[in-house]
Amino acid sequence: MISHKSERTVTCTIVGDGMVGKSQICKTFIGDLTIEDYEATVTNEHSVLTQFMGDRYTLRIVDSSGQHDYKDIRTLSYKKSEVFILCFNLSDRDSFESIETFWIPEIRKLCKKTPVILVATGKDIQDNDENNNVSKEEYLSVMDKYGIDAYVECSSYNKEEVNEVFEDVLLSVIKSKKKRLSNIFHHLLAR
Amino acid sequence: MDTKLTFLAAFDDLMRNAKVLQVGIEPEFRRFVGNQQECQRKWRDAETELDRIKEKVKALEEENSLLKTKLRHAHVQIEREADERRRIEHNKLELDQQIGLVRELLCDKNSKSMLHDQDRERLAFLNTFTQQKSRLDTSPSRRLNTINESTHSILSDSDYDKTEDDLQSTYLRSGRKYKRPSAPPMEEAEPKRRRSDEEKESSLITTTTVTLDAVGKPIAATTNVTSGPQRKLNKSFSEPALDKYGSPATRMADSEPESDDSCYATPGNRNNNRRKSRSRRTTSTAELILKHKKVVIELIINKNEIKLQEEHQCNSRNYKELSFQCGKRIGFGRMAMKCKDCRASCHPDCKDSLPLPCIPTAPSTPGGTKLSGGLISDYTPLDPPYIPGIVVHCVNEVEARGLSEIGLYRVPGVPGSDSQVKELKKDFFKGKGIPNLSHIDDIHVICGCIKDFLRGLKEPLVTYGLWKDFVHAAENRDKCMGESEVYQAISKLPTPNRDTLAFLILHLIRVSECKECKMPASNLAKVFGPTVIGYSVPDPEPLQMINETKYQAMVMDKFFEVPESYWEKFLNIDEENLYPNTYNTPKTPDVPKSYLGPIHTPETYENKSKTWGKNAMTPRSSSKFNTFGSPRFGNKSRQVNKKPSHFFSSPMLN
Repeated sequence: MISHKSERTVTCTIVGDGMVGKSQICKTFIGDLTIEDYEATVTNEHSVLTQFMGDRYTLRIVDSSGQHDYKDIRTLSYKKSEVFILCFNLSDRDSFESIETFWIPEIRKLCKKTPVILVATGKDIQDNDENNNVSKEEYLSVMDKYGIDAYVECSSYNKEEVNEVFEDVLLSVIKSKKKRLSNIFHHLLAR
Repeated sequence: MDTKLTFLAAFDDLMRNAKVLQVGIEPEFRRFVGNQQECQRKWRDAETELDRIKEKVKALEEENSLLKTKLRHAHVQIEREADERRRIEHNKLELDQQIGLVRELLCDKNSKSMLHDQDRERLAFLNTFTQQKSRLDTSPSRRLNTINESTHSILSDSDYDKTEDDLQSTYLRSGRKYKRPSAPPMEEAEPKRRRSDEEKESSLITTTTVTLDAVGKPIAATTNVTSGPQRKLNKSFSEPALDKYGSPATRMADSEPESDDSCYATPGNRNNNRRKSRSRRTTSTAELILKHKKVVIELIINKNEIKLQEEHQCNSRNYKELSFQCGKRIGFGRMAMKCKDCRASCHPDCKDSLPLPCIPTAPSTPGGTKLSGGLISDYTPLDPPYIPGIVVHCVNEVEARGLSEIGLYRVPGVPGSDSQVKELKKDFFKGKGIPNLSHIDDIHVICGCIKDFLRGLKEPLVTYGLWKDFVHAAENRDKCMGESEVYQAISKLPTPNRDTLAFLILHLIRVSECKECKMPASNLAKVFGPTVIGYSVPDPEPLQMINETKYQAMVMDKFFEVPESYWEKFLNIDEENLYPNTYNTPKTPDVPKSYLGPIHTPETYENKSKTWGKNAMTPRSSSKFNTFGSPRFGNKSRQVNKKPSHFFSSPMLN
């Protein structure tokens, strides 16, 4: 039997344009499967206990508002956040483009090194208009450009795909921890 | 031998005794064991029974506690209802007093024989209604009585005695009503009549087409009055609608200046008139925005076109700048038109297509740059209603083409819209007229512009000083108390803030009613919370920010609960200013000329009295009339508003 060492708390913040399905990802992950109509979020916090690679984690998910107006209150939670989930909607080109123009600058302004995971929601709904859909090459190029750690495509209503998102969240946190440790180690050795 | 015999006997004896030992007692033992088993079974049964009963007791206890809580809640609710009832009784009493006053007034009139014979006839007609009403009156009060008694019997609480007292008083009141002599004219019957008319679903639709020649003088005015299924007539039509009441014929131009006299006045007092007509026109355009889907839209457009030539004071000059409407440059040295009020400039040909509400720009303060964000009053025109042009134009545009957009005000729109929003805002305050909003493809940019403008103000719309008042009102659990606090706080707002808020909330209510954009009031409240309500201080601490955010949406929700008519009142101020005391002095001779009243020429009067029963005036328009005489702020005005008036709605009382 695997002995559980001390539980770790990981804080992640979900950001992205309004109406891409941020709150729905949270809800699906928590297991609240009610499908509601659009309801704007101001800010919400969920705490979930999960297991990953034999360790137990408490995942604190901060569900932020997509309104650009709520900048003040949203950025409050940025500093505490260990990883960002950056959402856009596959069938909504505007939400994808504002990642480059708005969200990444906002995140990088406050948190230079925090890992970011790109999540494409709305895999199940593809727009009929080809121009509106976001192609794979486009987001891959964005990933390379801004050093985004992982990319997940999901439907906000699909439990497995959403779980994958949060697995990636934990993975990237562990990775970044290791990286930081090794950096310190190298730093010490170099002396 | 003898001994031998005795031995044998002894042996026999012994054997006989031993025989007892040799025989087994299995049957007895079996019976015993069976008994024991039986016992054990019974025991177990008893135990399970006990468990079951215990569980039952527990369940019952839970149920009991649940019911107790329910009872407590019911107690609280009943208490609240009783409060409400007391309040309403109080209101009713006040209204009764008002009715009494009006009756006295009318009696007075009667004695002086100021009324026409026809009026008298009509009043007599009302009396019959009064009787009917008073007869009807008794039944509701009896119904109320039973309800109240039942509550009394359920709760042996002594503090419900009050309501019973109240009730007795109602009884008395209704009794008095019943005995009342039928001689004085009763106005209460009117709402009844109106209601019954509505049930018949008959109403009038008036369409007026005014044809103009080049100078702007009307050549012909055509009025069509049709009666059709019930539709609400727009308030702002009351003037022409009443004017040409029931005359389906074509009227010639000479009568037109009479009704629109302020527009076509002599040049001498033109300035003064122009001001008036402008403000009135602004309202009517606001109305246009409000009800642009209404049937009678044609009329209002025509009306605006008449005044546009008055309004956009176009001077021809030579300019070199971008024409507003067509987007083409005005060549150097070419003729151009420029509006004096809103500073819009355009080609002479594009003049007619300038956007309709001409809202004068605020006088610029030397040295102050408007982009840096000032108070709302820095942006408003000099005449009421004090709403900044940027808000009016953006809202117009949003309502014209954005109401079907999903996530209106919520999604930020195309990338780079932030810079577009800034650009648009800059264009507005450049002082060269309003930019052409129809050239902006993305409606979200215009939404963003409204939000950005409101957020950029030095002080949010509700002001830092009154922030706490609003939050306190929104927090109040007692619904009517909270409401009255909101009204109070709104009335304390500076006029520009209040007007803009009223205009904005009315717009948002309309947005929330549009199912297509999926923005119900709760969503809009969240989105507009930080924009309209803001924080209690200019630079809040992070913790304060988190705490205050939730109040923002609460206050906004409260705003959405306020009835639309209350907000609309603020936008109609100018008419009140134009016609002060119209209703306090019914004898004023020029009243028939009022825009709100009919023309009292004998023929039209005849016509009118025929159509009077049909009643083109919807309760909505008559409720507007009422607000004139009553104080506009505070609890009282609300009551009047809530209960569409009884006494002043009939056209002949004007």
